[in-house]
Amino acid sequence: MTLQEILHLASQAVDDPTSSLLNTKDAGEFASTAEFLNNLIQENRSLRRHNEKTVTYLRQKIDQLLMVIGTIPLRPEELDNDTLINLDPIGIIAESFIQILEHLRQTNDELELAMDEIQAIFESVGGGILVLDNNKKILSYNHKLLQMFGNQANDLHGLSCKDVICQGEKSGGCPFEEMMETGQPVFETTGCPRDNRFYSIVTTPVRDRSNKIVRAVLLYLDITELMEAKEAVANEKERLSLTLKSIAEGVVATDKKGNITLMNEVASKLTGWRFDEIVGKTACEFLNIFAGKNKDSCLGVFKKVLK
Amino acid sequence: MAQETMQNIIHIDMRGQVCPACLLVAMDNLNKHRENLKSGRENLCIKTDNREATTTIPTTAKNMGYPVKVKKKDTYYEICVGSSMTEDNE
Repeated sequence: MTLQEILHLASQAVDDPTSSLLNTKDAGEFASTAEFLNNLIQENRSLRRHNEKTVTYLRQKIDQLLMVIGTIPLRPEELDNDTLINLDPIGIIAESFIQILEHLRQTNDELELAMDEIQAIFESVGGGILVLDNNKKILSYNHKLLQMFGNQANDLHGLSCKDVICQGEKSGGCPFEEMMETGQPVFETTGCPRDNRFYSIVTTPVRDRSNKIVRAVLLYLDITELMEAKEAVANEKERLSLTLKSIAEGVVATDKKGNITLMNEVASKLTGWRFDEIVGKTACEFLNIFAGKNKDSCLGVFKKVLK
Repeated sequence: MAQETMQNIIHIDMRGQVCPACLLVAMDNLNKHRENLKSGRENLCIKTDNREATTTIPTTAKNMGYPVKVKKKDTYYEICVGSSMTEDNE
């Protein structure tokens, strides 16, 4: 075998990794050259296998990173091995991750600030605030709520709403079901019999991204004093009504503008008007007893009184 | 792929290319022009006719903290990224 034939076979063996190596026995005087070439061919094949493994590993890692970014894997025909190395997708993605992480850090800082603001609002609101999960278990609450319903407990986390509100006496104090049914905020007024206090409750749903209600925020405002004031006004009104009824004279009351606001039964009999017919209307339109036919003088009388 | 800069807008024409190559080129440019894009000195506008790129590029750019605007043109989409862009998807 000539040296040229040996080199030709060696070249073929390099191009086709499945082909056999050079036969040193056939090489005759060039046996040592053939053996040297065989070593080079084997080393070449080994390097190629190693290179293929490296490229395969790189493609796998690039595909993983691309999936994390949110896109599809690279197709082999899209970028050949040389372009893949030159483009350096891992470098590009790694640098992009730096920007993504910086943005996340910035967003986290902003969220932390917003959280502090919300916490400050949470604690400075004049009412008690309760945050419940889907099972009506308490996730968080403010200091005011603990004052209202804590009953000397130090921690309400994980407790049931119904057990805490009014110490479990009043089932109406936790309008969670109604909010879940309607999906809308619920406004309710309820009373706690034990301490005889009244509360205005606003229950607001909190939804996740799929619009499912996952939490509820309940705001409790103590309206006991308001209710007491209302009751006092109603009692006073009743007392006034009884007083007016018992007076033998006709009594008509007006506001600052002279519009009728109140009239007793005697006045109704004397004037011939029912109270519901003239309430809110100018007294002089109906009561001309003060000034005869002259309405101006009637108004004049009122003006003097109302000054 | 053509790239040119005019009036502080870097124009990249990636029509004919598909994802993820489109996304890689976009990300490469977002990295290279990061300082100017963040400061608002430059905007990056990419032309693409690959529908998937209209999702992957804006999502990635937003994750990096950039406002993004996508416009549908006659035969392609234009994705513009940068601080001076009003965030909007059309």
